[in-house]
Amino acid sequence: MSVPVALEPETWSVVRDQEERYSVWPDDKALPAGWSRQAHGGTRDECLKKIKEVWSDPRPRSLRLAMNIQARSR
Amino acid sequence: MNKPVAPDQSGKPVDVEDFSRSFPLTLAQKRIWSLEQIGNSSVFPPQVLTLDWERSVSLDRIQKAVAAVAARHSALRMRFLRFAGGRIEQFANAGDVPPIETLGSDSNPLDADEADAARAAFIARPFDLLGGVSARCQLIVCGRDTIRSTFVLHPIICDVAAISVLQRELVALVTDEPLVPLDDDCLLRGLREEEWLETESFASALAYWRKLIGEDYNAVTLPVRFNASSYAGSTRLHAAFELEATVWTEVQAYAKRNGIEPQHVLSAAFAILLARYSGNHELLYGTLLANRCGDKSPQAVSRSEQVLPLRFQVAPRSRVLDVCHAIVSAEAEGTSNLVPFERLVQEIQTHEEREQDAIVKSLFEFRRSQPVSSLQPRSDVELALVVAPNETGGLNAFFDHAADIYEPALVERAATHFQRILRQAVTTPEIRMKDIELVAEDELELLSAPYADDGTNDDRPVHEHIAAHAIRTPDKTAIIFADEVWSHRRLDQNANRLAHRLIKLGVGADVSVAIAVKRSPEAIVGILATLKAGGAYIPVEPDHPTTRNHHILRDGGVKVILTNSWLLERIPDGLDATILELDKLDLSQEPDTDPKVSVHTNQLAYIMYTSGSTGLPKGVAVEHGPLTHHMQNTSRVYGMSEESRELPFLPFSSDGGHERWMNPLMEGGSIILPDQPLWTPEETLTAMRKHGANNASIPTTYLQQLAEWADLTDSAPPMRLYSFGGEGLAQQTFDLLSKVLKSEWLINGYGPTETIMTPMVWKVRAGQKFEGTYAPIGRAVGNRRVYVLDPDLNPCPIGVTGELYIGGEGMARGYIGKPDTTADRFIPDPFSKDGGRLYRSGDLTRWREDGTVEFVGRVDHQVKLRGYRIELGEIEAALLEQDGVGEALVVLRDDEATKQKILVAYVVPKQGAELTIATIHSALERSLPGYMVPSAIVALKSMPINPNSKLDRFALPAPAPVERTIIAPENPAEEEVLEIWQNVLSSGPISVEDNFFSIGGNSLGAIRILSALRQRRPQSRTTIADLFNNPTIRSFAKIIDAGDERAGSEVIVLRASGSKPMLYCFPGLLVSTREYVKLVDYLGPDQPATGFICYSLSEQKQIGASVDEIIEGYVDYIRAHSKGKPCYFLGWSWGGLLAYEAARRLGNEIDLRLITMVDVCDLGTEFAIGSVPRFKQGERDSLHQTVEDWLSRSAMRAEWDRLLGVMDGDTYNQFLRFVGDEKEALPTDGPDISSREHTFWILIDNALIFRRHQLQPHDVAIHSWAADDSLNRGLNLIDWRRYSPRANPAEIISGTNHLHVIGSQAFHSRLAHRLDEAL
Repeated sequence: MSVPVALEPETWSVVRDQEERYSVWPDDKALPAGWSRQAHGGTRDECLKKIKEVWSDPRPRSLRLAMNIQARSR
Repeated sequence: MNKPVAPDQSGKPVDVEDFSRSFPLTLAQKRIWSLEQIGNSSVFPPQVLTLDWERSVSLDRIQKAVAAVAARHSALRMRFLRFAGGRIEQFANAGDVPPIETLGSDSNPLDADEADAARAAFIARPFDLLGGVSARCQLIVCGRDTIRSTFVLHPIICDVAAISVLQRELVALVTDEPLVPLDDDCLLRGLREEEWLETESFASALAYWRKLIGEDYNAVTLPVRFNASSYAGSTRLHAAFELEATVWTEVQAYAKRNGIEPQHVLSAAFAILLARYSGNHELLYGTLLANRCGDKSPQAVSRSEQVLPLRFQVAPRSRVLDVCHAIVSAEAEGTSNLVPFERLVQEIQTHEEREQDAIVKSLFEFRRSQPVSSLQPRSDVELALVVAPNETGGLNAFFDHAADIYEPALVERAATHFQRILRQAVTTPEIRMKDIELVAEDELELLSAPYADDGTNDDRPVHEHIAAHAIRTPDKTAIIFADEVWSHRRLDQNANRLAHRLIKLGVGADVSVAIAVKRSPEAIVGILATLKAGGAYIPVEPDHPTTRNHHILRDGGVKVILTNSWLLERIPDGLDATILELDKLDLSQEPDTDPKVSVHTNQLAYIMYTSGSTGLPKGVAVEHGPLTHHMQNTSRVYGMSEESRELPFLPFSSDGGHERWMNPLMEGGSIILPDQPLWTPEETLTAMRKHGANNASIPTTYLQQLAEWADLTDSAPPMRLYSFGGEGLAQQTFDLLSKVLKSEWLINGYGPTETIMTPMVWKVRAGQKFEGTYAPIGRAVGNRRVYVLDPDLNPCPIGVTGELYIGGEGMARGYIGKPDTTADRFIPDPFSKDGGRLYRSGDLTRWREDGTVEFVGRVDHQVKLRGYRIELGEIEAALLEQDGVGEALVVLRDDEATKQKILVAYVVPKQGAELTIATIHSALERSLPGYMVPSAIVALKSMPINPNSKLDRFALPAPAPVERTIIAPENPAEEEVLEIWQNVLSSGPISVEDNFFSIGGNSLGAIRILSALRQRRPQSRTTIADLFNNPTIRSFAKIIDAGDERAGSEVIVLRASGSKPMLYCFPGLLVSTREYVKLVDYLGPDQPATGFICYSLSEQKQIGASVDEIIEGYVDYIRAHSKGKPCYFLGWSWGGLLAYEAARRLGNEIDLRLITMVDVCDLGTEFAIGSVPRFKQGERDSLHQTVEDWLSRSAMRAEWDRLLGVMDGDTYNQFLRFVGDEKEALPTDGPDISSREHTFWILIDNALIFRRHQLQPHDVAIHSWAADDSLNRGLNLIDWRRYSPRANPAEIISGTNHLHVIGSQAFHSRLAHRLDEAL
């Protein structure tokens, strides 16, 4: 026996924080503070695949900026 | 109707002429009767109804109402009759009235205290069901205003709903309201049930339950205590709570809106509670059915209620309403297939080999109209939630649970959570299970909080902290390494020179440098130089496999490799990196001053490679800011100072190893760096003593050896602190090191590399005890929080297992080159107000009562096998308890032969210990449920360790197929015995040293062997005891050859040695003594035991022997061996009668401390003397003819003739009745010992032996046990208190039956306890 209700498949989104770190989050759960949903969604795995494509610079945003400034000042 | 109040009739003998007919009991009644028999009144306590009457109501009026209500309901007049042999029936006399006790009068009323005391005493008074009626009433005149009436009814004729009926009718009678006519079926319920159980309708209902519940079921309940044994003591605890009227009103409105009953909403809240607490969404629990159709129609007082199992599947995303609907339909289907629960349990629990788990562990009960405020307990299940509307429009509720099984604090919290679930369910439409919040924000704040730490951190990176001491205390020792002593100045200057060189080579922010030298001061110089240059270091152990190292060097994108010339060959070609050979490097031209490179907090400090469970190691990248803050917090928690001198034993390939050298150096202290990857325990302790270490950090995998050595040699120096980590720390190991390592503090560190070194610690004083398989892992350190979460990221309540998540500042940037894996493991932190991530650890944990975290196991270390969820750590803990086992590991793997999943255990002996696998295996069989006992145990010299000092599960060998050496017979006697064994056992090749019982032999096989031997050697006096005592072909053949001198014993020595009094085990019907082996094993080497061969298997067997004759041999033997000495008896089944008689016969000749009675039943009614069988017209003659026909076909004709020949006419009639009642045809498969016919013959023979036997009183200490299943079957257990003043009420052993109780571990532990008590 099971609950007589068809469960919709869960959908997830690609999310990013202020330091431009990426992660995934389910659409049916309130998005934690400091994170914003990106355009990409789908299954959890699909979202992770997308992140593999788009997250090319692992450095947090503040470090990236600092290193850029340093590089320019040299 | 107006009959005056009857006097107390309990003393009066029953006038049999008074009733026309008596009727059988229902199964539920039989169970209650059996419990009553063994003196247990806690499972089903008496039902009580107390009503306070205003004084306008006269005593006389109440008395008349009592008489009137008793006239309406036979239950209030029910009497019980025991027939010869023990069958029980019930009957009711029309004129009976329950006895009424009246206390106080108008002139002399009782005050409140007196009234309460009198009422309590009245309730506590036991019933005499054979001597009086099953209900009684007390009337108390209390003060001027009130008369208090208290009805006490025996649970055998009353249930909770019946109490409501009684209340309603009493009130109606007193207030002169009319009562509608009533169909009182109480007397007939048992008969109707008996008839129904024979119908097709029952068969199909049973089929429904078999299909629904099946064999692999898992009854859900709240988490149980650590080590909660399967024995549930009778102590119950209650957690009561109230729900205010607004909630109940909302529940009712919600139910109405959705077209369901309000109790289904309550039941759904309970179901959700169970699912959230157990993590199991395939629910199996019980609900209590009043089992009365419509509660407004007239009802009889009777015992009607039934436990109805509910089994249904939900999902975290199911809406609460879906759960309600699932319950409604499960309940409807279950009700239409209702079978007596006692019968259901018997039919489902048919696996005889393993102890049975209850089908219903938790029960929901809604009481529609609960009289008065006090709620009747519900104690026939491990855990029950009872809810009932109260007078204020709200709900009264309580959890009633077994004290031994559940932690009261956990149940109290569950009560709070039940209320939260209910509130959220009815106030938030469409809410789903997973949306419900159990743990409130403020609780979570406390639970997740790190160690209190008032200090403040600065942002200087780690290397700057270390360098500062080169200025402050330049000459102070920093590193001791073999014969070298490095000062802080030397360390700093060397690091500076190398740093300048690295900067020239292009090392800077986020550029990595490989440290490919062994653990040494040079390695530390290299690390500090890299940090000073602004780079990130990657430790590479030269000794590690080259493939692994090559992967690290390529994957980590190293710019510079620091190594030694002799290690060059290990560096792969084609890397775009500069290689510096430290032994050849001339840095004399480089300045020894600080290069003054400033680092950003988000700049990388190191990359640490960790072995995942699969694939290549992953590089975990850690930044400076989190690292230095972590180190400063850790310094304070560990109490580090410039006095600290630490021996860091952890390898440099684990991040913990780096924490433990950085920490002392940052504080201006020093380290003793081991000059070899591994030191022996002796070397380690010597180094600590020699160099005055006060701290040591040791991998958990090495602790056991170290502690054992310290214990053996008493060589541990006094220390301030030991810290350890890397693996779960088993309780035994912790207790040992706590005792022998002479340390003030102990820190169990825990932490994935991804959350930087040791993000959690459990810091305790030596000697601290803990409950659980592994040592707690404590709390978070520094700017971190830890959470135990369910798969939907909901915080788990204390005591509930969930996955550990770590959040806050102290975590890695991510995995090098793996953005998707980083995004997968580091997720947004839903508990943070200002952003941040949580790391998902993959470890199963739970919060303890004190808010610290306990490690339960790996997520992937919990396995499911044959429907059971198994935590492998529990099996490992059981292995570690065995003598000589130093390390243990259990995995689930595919059996190569059968392709089935099996559990395989790996064990490493302690130093100098030899392991006997068979002994360990049988010890596990004693201590674990069958499904948890590994199929194979493999002994290893050491556990395979991966480069990070962690166990390498993938390097474990498959268990070798069991190779048996077949030893051929050496002489004619052995050849002869071998031939017989082969015929009897029909197994494969047999070695002359194989144990009879371990190759499939059993008692029946043993008898066959003896018969075959007797045919070949008619003069042989070898007995079954000889075979049991000599269970190999070789030893048995020797007995045969030795002839009469050694053979002929009826006694089996189960254990010869031991200082405790001898335990004599008396066998039951068809029971050999082999069954006692597990028991004797459990009782241990100090408990000697002797077993007697079952009479029916013995050689001297004669037809029509008396009990006195049977015990003759036993008594002689005991007298000869225990005269004047202390001893114990154990009697199982009918053996209990033999033990009792032997005790009577021996009297004071022995010092008998205790007789333990195990499920001892009276003889059935069929053959009892005086029991006169009833036959229908012509039935007797036709049965006689059936027997004659059968005998003409039987191969055991001669034996039957002998047996029937000793029967008189009455007994033969009883035999015919017995045959007529048998459902199956008479067997003709004899005379083989395993045939049904042979068993039948033994049964009848025993009946003849025992029918003539009368138990006489004897003053002897007796403790008895009853198997749960025997109670469910209503077996006629003997209440020994009727015969001895020193007998106790029986204890119940759950999950077992008459045949298997003797092997039940729950029984063993209780028996051991009682034997010790009697010592």
